[in-house]
Amino acid sequence: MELGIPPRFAKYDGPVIRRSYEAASAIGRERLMELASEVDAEKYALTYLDDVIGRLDEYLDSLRRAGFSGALFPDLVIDFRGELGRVASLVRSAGLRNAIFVSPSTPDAVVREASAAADGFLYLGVRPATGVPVPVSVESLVRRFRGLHGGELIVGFGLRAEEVSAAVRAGADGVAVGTALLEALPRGVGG
Amino acid sequence: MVDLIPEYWYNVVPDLPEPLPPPMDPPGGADSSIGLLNRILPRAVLEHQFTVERWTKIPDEVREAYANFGRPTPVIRARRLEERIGTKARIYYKYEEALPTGSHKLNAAIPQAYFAAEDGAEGVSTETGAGQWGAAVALAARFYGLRSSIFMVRSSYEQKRERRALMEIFGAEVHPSPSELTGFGRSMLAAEPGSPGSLGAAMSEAIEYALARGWRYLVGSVLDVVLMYQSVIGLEALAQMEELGEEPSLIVGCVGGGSNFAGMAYPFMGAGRKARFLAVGPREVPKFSAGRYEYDFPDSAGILPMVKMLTLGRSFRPPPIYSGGLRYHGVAPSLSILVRAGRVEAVEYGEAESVAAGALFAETQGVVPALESAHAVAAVIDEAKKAEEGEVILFNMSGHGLLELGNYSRILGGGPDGQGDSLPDDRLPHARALPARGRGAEAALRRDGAGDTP
Repeated sequence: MELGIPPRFAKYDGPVIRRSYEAASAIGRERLMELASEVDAEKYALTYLDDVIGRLDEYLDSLRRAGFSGALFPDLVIDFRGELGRVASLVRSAGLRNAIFVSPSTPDAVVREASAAADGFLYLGVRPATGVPVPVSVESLVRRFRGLHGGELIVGFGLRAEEVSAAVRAGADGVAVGTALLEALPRGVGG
Repeated sequence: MVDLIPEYWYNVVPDLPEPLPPPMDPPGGADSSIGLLNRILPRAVLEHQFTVERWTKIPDEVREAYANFGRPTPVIRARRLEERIGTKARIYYKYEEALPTGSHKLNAAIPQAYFAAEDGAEGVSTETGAGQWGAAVALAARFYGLRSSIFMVRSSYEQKRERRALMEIFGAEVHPSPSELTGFGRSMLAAEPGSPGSLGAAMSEAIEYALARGWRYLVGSVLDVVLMYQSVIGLEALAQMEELGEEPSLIVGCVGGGSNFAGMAYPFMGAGRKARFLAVGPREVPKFSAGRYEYDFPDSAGILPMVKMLTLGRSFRPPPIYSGGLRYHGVAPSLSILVRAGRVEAVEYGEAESVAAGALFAETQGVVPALESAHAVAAVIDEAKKAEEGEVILFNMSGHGLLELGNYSRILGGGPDGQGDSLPDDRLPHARALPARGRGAEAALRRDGAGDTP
């Protein structure tokens, strides 16, 4: 399970997740972490590195105390490529695993670097932003990334049902569901 | 001839040295402008843009269309130019101006019009500066039975009457931008009644126009997918240079948004060739030397999602230079990364000296470059003069200047509209002022050439 910690600006997220972050921020950081620690499932924390890079040790420590298994930063590879090694090893020293986020516009050489750092999983977001339905060939993308990463590969960002099967056929180990879940919540479990 | 046309387009993004930041929705929007692209671009074009892979199959119908319009284009050695300037280098150019609308733009217009027709769109719209992109879209739309509306930057609409006529011959409706036809155009005219317009503004108008009618908008440059469609240039050139037994040591092209430069250069980069790459921008729109690398809107109204690129800002008002195709505030995101990483060098030339170089090329090779392409010629000549033995320079002759000969004589003659008297800045070592009279300009060129003949 991925839990997003509200950032100052969710630059690579679409409107639905941005709005959900606004709602979550109103709850306050401390209360959020309390709620998170009550979640009884393997959980990864997601937030933008931009927000926490100045206090990374403290942030990672708070994740460990709340019972998270790992950390994911959507902007690590895109905006902090030079810090990849350092951040990955800080995450490991905090007793957490690295889930590294990559996207179609990540060059092959950089994907290989990310793959080496990803002791948790490699997360491929197949669209440019969460929850924004642009057409992509999920099969082509997963095939490309499957060839660049030997470990666990999770695929997400607006996957429709037929795309989930395409992803799995092309070699993905799992899929992520975000926006669809958030949109379904107000409708209720049967909705 | 179809056999000589590449079967796949090449996308450089998997081979970039740094990650390409994704397009981004600006803060505070209720809806996603990335999502809005679904209503703006042809579906297949969007899929090609976001399914980033090195090789994308070119549909057979598109390859046939390329052949129908004259691909593959020749690579020609500029021997007479070499002799005139006394260079030790061998100079080659890719003759993209041989295509029917006079430039490389058709390479990207054809697939987009094809995919728009596949979508069932009734028509397509776009913006144009000098008229090259507009003419290509008009022709491609006609070829696939689509209507077309072209928003032409007002200053070019007024200067380039023949290019407007060319679009109209292909059945397009051409509107000067800013126009009364869109909300954005009306607001620009209200703020500044005599506005000469800009590519960014014309883009916004064309998009608004398409959205209102359920048409599709065709993209001329900047986006990765457009640069990918242009890769036929470099892919052909790779094969042609190999056949000639030549390995280019320097590859040059002019840059408006980056499509012709990328079309030529990226396949060579992808093939791992050890060449220098030189992008030539206009001094009057100094996005390489003065641009900031940041997220910005490709269009003036901010309808499109932001992309990270070298930019002078979307409200930058380029001066009304004749090289309309270079009057754009940004540099394609992939090219911005390559320039910042030092993989591509960039230089800027003024219009007057570019035109002088273009005239020299015409005189020696018989080919009149478009004013935009003349910027590349100016850089090629300077590079050739300092070249060592064995250097091979390949550049993209992206367009012809046969519809703007009036501008050539005006600028070289230093008449009322020309810039013959404008003093270039002292940053550029080869910048020189052209004398007011035509003959003086000729003499200035001869002074710099070897083997003067009266």
